[in-house]
Amino acid sequence: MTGMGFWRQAREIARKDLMVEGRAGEAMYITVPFGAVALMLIPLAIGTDKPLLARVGPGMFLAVSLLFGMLVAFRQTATDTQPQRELLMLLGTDAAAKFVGRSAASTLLLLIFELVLIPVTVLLYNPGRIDGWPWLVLVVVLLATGLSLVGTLAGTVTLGLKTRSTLTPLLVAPLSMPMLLAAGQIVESLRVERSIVVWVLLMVAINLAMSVIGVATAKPLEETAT
Amino acid sequence: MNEGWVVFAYVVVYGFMAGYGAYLAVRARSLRRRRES
Amino acid sequence: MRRSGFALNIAAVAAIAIGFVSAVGAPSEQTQGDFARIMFVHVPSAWLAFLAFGLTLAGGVMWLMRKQERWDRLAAASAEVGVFFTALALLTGMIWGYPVWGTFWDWGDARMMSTAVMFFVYIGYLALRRSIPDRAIRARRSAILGIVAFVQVPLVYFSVNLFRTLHQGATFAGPDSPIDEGFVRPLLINLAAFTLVYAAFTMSRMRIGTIEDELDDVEALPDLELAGSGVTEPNLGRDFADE
Repeated sequence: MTGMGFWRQAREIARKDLMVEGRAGEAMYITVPFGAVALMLIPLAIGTDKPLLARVGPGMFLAVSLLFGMLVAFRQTATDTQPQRELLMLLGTDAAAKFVGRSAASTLLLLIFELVLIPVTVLLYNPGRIDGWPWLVLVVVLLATGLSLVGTLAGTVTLGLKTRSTLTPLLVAPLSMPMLLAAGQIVESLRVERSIVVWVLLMVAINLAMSVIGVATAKPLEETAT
Repeated sequence: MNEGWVVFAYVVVYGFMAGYGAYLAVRARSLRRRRES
Repeated sequence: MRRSGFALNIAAVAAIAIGFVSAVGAPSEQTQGDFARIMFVHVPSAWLAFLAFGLTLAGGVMWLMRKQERWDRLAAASAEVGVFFTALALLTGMIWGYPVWGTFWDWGDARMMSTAVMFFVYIGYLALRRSIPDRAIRARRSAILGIVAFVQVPLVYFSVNLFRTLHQGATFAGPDSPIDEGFVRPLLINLAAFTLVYAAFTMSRMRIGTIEDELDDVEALPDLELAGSGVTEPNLGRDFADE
């Protein structure tokens, strides 16, 4: 690892994570179906009135993507065991590169998560066509990157803790509020044909801020891993 | 009509303050006792 | 140390009493009548909630720079007292809101939303601290969580404000709408009083933290003396089997 530059290290880490995920299949075979089940449960709770569901469909997709998608970011396979961490440190891996690589892998998996759930949402909620729907691709991508950045950070901070699986969601959820609001507003603005620029900018700003913090705090946090 | 809400608000605020203050005092005292033993 | 703590506590109680008297003595407000008196406890609570949050961030950053335990202790104490004031701010805000809005919650109120997010972030912060027995690791991770949270809360405020102006236009009557002159003095008096209460609580909580750390050190000694292959450390929250 010492011979490699920053980006190459990040790429290798991302590749390793994706390979492990490919073998374990936690995100794809467990979390994605979980998200789909969640989308199915919601109408049972709020009522199966078709206009209501058509109205809330896109919003429910975003909420489920956030609440259940975050599990993708701190899945078991994204967490190194202590021997693995020590090995990476011995190899001279840049902690920030590890953060970037890990977030990139999580982003890709989150994208797949969202892309699978979109047709599920369309089928169950029948939201109807939204003009300018190609912009929704931007929302999906920005949500995936933002969530994976916050999730990876939260996952690092809760590393090794017994309560990790419940504590990390508690940390991620309130911190994801601005992102969810912006994403929801983009969908809403598209529906009523209003400008989405300011909300897109907000999502980009959040992503940038989280990237900077993640990279800057990677080295200090590495020292806390035992 | 609204006076009741105002009174309620003040009761909540002062009550919480007294409660939290008492909680801190009790906790400090029991910790000091443990330290002395 | 006990004596200064006592003086601060007495000062805080006295200040609150003075604040109460000034709140009761204030003239009835033009548009809201006696009801606006809730502002005398709501605004200071919200102010202290944000101040406490700021000090948690500051304590964390100072610890990262200096590595002195008292900064981490300040961060932790301020967070706990911050939960207290945040809860008060939310409760008083909702008590104000119900007769005015007809509901306990208004989704377009940026300040209440920021306060609510802060509340849950604090809770998560305290939960994180509780899960980490090692002092240095706990301090470092808490500090970093503090930084991440600090960035997000103004973002919430900004985004909800944006949401409101786009949906409802600029006119809005929230718990922080402008109030007339006769109200400023009691408001400031109560602000000072609440700040003293915050200081008293935080100092007390910091002292508790110090004693807890001392006890942890003392109580760990017997375990250390028995060190050897026959005795294993109790599992206090870190479980590598989970990884």
